[in-house]
Amino acid sequence: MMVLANMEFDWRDATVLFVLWLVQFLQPGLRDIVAIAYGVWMVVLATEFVVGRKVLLAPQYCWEMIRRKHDRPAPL
Amino acid sequence: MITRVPYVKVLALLSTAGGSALSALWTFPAILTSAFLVAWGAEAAQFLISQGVALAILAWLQTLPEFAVEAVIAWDAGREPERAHLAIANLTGAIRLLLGLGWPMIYFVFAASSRNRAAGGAQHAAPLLPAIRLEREHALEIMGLVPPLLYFGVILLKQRFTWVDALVLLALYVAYLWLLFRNAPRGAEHAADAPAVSRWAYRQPGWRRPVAIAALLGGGGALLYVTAHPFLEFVLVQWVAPFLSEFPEKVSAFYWARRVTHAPMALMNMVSSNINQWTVLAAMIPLCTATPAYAIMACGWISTSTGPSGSRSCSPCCSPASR
Repeated sequence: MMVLANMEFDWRDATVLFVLWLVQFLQPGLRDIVAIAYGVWMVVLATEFVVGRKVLLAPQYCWEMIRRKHDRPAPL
Repeated sequence: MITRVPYVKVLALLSTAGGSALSALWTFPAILTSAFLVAWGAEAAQFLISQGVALAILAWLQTLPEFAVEAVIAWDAGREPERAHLAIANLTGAIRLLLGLGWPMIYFVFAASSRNRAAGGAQHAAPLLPAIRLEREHALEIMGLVPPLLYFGVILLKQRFTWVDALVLLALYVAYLWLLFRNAPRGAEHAADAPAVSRWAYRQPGWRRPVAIAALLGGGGALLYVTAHPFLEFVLVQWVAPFLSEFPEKVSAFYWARRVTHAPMALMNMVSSNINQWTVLAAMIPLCTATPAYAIMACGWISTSTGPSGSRSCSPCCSPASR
């Protein structure tokens, strides 16, 4: 969820997710280390949101979507 | 006679192998066809209902084989508690596979397709590795991941996974669907971007339109279930079963990722499946077993409780092979 909280998915996100999955796939014994790596990554992401390097857009947009009244488009 | 026995064995082996090869010849195209049918159905459905709901329906159809596997494992675990860890192993394996392989693959397919498009005559140079930019309405799906994830934190803290937790998870999923239902469908002006089959279904007059869309979704889902089911009877839990059962999801997601403009929809297809897994699929585990409760160790390992008094040691299921 935190990966997409800025409403973008870029090459860094994809690479980190893939590498962590691959490590655990090839070396199941490293699951604890992989879990720690996920935790560290979450801390890095949280820090980026706090310092403003990334913008936390998903909660804001979600709230807008919940509050918005929707007009259904006219049928063809 | 002595020489005939091995000969017969070899013949039997060859006939089995031939049967498997023959079945692969028709099952693989059938699974591909079903994946495309449900993807086309979802693309047409997003003009009748919100895209989120269309993707949630798609996620349901795509995870049908996963539900079948999970139900069988959980049911067996109810009778043989020592197999209980397999139910969680299948769930975590499926989530891990979607997140660790599905999401990145969508990105890399999208990036490669973007480059190809740029090389094919775009006016201005595209960035080497562009980001997939999600639309505002996708925020509902992204935030929809939060409540089940938080609730799983509660489950881990109390180290028990009971039918009450299952009901809470199901309620979270219903609430998520309700929010999606409030969203408006896509405008008809976007229909031109849809593939021909989706356009055909959407342009049917009157009652034929929902019927055509439902036929695409229902037909694809039924074909998928019938085709995939025999393959899921042999279950190499955690890696092979999730990979087989999630194959159709990846087909439709990559199909959208290749079209570049539909990459956000592909990613949301995966997110929708993830929410489905965290809520409904997980809820099936305590509901399908006859055991009174699961006790989940904080590390993610599982053992079944022997009764209301407390839980057993998880040592039998903590071997690396069982994870």
